[in-house]
Amino acid sequence: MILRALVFRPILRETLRTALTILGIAVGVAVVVAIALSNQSALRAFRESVDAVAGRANYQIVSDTGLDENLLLALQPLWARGVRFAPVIDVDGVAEGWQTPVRLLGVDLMSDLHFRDYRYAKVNAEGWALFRDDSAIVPETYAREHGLRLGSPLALNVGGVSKTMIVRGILEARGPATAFNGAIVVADIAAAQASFGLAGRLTRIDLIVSADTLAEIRKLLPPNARLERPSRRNERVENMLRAFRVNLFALAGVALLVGMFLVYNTVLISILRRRKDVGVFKTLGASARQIFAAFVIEGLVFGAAGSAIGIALGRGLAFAILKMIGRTVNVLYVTSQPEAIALTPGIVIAGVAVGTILSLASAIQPSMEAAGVRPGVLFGVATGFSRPGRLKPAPTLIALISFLLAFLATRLPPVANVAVGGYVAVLLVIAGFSALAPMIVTATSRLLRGPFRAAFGIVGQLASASIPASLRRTSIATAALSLAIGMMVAVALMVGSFRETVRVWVDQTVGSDLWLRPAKGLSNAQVAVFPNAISADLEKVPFIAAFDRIRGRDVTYGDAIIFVGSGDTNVAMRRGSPPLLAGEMTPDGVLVSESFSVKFNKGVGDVVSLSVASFKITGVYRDYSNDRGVVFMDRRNYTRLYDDDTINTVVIYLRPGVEVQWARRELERRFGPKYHAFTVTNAEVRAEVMKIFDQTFLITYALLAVAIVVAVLGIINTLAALIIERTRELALLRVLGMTVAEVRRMLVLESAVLGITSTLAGLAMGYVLSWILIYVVNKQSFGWTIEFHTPVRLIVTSLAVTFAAALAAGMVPSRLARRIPLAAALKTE
Amino acid sequence: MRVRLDHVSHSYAATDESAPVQVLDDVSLDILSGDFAVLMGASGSGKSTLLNLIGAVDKPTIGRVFLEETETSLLDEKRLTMIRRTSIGYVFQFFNLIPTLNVRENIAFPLSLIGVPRDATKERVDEVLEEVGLAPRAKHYPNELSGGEMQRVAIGRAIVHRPPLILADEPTGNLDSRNGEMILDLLRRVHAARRPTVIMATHSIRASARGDYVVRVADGRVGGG
Repeated sequence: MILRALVFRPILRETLRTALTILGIAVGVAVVVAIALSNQSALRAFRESVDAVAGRANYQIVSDTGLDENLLLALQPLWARGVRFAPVIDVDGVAEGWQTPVRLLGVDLMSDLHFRDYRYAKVNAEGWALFRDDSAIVPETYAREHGLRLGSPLALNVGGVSKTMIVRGILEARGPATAFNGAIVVADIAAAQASFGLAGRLTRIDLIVSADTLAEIRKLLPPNARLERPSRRNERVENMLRAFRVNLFALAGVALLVGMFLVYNTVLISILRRRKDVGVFKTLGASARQIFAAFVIEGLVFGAAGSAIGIALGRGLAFAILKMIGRTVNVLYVTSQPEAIALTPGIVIAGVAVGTILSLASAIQPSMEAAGVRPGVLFGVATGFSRPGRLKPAPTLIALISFLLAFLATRLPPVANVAVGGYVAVLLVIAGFSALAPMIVTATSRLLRGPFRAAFGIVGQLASASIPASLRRTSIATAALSLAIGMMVAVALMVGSFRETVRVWVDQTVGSDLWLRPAKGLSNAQVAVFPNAISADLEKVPFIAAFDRIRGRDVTYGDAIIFVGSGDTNVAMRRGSPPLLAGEMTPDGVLVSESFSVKFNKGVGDVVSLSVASFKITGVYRDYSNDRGVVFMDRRNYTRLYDDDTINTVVIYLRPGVEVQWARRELERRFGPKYHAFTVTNAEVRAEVMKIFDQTFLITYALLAVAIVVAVLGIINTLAALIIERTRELALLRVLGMTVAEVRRMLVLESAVLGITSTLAGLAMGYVLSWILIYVVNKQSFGWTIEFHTPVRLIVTSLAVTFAAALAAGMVPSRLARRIPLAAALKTE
Repeated sequence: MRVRLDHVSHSYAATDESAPVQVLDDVSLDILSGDFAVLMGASGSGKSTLLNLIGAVDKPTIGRVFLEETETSLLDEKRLTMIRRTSIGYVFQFFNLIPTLNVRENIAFPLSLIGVPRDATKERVDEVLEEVGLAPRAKHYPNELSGGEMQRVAIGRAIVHRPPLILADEPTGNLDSRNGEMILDLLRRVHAARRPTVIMATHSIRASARGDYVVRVADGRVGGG
């Protein structure tokens, strides 16, 4: 009976309030679920590809420099002990016809069936057709997508070597044919070695072994090789992506946090409106526990309903987010082409738990307050009006303590590259500002009273005075919108600062005239390469003053994956080395990026031990191209140690007086047909970098826009509830001669007061939060130094949009003012 | 202002499927300009409903209501609002002051709605503050006033714009006898000074004696007066 009267009937009767609250939770849960699904999909796509290619191997022998195939001979005696091994070429290449990445998997087609499943949909079974040097086997999906049949040519470029293969087998979708969304070409290993200049070399050796042979195998390994499980690569990639993923979840969490405010506010308003009913129930004998349970259940109902809808919404939203995340992961981290969204039981449970538990948590405090209502509330003077709230000193103290703890939290070191202290500090700052919300609302309303009176007459004065009169409710709505605005401002400041920092860095770094690249518009720059033979041809070009050959690769460094880059340091030292934070560039030492230096706590004078050799760090430089850390060495050392003389990009300096566009056309004429080369100007490189940057942060803005939407829903909810509560007061104003339009204007102006208060509070909060994001979270998560910069236009636009949204939010509930029945509302009891 | 009701009946729609509730039944009334009429009846007799119909807060289900020659039952909401704003002053049982405005501002409220200039508003409000004896409390808020003081503010608000009609619904119902007498005296003085039409609803015999005549209301019908 209590539940029915206090909770279920009002939920069903007050459709607007119920719908808004559930929608607020649903949106918050949807965003979190969508991020979880997208992250999972991006990782799973990569993991599944790795697993599909690894097949049944339980161990692998790997090396950053590749393996000599003679190692197979050393392993041969272990065959009798049950060790099975398979040589593998597993490298990235480019399908030249479509300029898209493709994986080349070279295996011993005769014996690989122990490790991987191949089922041919179609095959040219004449003699040894599949073993010919130019034979390629492609998945059915890839063949269909690119119109390939048996006998079709397929031009590949692997390691700078171009070769036109012939499709002689088409695989059904199982095993390795499912890897990388089908963008994989299988060839016999000997054919792959012969066709692409990989004679005598292997990427790895896959093993099926028992534990008792591991020690012996380790003894046979060359110095720079490792014996590890295939899943190790997945773990390293997950480590690499951890900071990026945690950041995304944190942003999604903002929307959920705002949703929590919504639930708290709704349950609180519900309780405040039903104080008399609660008093009646208590007078009649209901216990405090029953009252507490009733309102907690209200919170749970909102949470459960919101979570259910949120999960469905989240699945739809995941497709859009996946595109954005997938692009960023591909550009900055690993090749991964996630497409499938799988709503796993784990994510469903997590979504329900997050929405329901947080709603429950939000409902607890107001429910405790309801449980404490005394029956005497029935016998108070029934004026039906809201009285101006009195401020208590405790919130100020809570705020001060929160800010102090936040400052201390920023001093904490990162945990597994995650800026835990930074995130805790963000939460504490939010808590501090929320505690100050009543004070901010009161102060702002007082400040606005004069100007509103002057601008809008008595309507304006009433509007500015009524907000602090319902302080509890309005301060919570204000806190929610301030939070959303604060995060929006903080991220705008962080992204704006970051963008400006990157722009300056690009200007400093990109000092050349032209770049020569082996492919156009590839998301992963390592995939396509030039052969070293291009160097001799470049020497012959009379209008080139100097050129710098850039090459690099991902290597393992303990549990992490870092990037080892190289270039012609003699050219860089003359023409302009990367912007250095410390030390200098030398031919024999290495430079490390700032990210590397921060993450691995290494600086000038320290030694960095790679699997191939150890080097002294002679300088630390700024590098925003990736966050996993870069060790940069002279090209001579790189080619010697990694046995790799290919080139990713050639940075070209023209002789004085040579016109850039003319030089560009000349270079493409000379090198285009032979090396499939494309030129890119300085300006185009800068534009491309900034475009990647903007794309990377697109999702950030999308998530924050969602948080703003949830907060605006909170404003609508609060104002609608206030109107219903103030029916008698509004009826009085109508009776005394205010028109419906004037009452509506007053309500919209109240919304404006909330909007102005939230905007000011959000702006202040945003600046504080941006400091934490820039100097703590970003620094600890990614290792980058960002120079503070205020993107004025972006901030002003964002604030204007959110203020307008808050104002518009007031128009929705103000329509309720039209429907107030004057006589019934003024009826005395 | 002359107030006339012509065969007015009024009922409220019920919230469930039962029949509507009839609160007034064929009421005809003619209150002349300048009269101090008292509507007297027990709680639930229909006197507040009568005041609502006269005060353009509600429209009769059947019948006609006239303020002077204007039939208010035919007017739209906007015009009714204008009548309430300029021609009628209200005094309620539970004061119904605006809690976010102080005494001066509460009294000035009708003038603000009409758009009277600030200087004129100040002058007029000062007069009324003197008249109701609250000049020293001008800057206080309703929650700082006693019941009697709040009702004096309400009367001040009701007369500040010099309306030709003042409606008082149980103005002493929430006051002790001493304050009640004070309020009734004030109403009487206001009436004597400017001769607005005053219609007061009450169940108190003592209060009813302050009027020029009594109209008895019982079970939605009127008699006497």
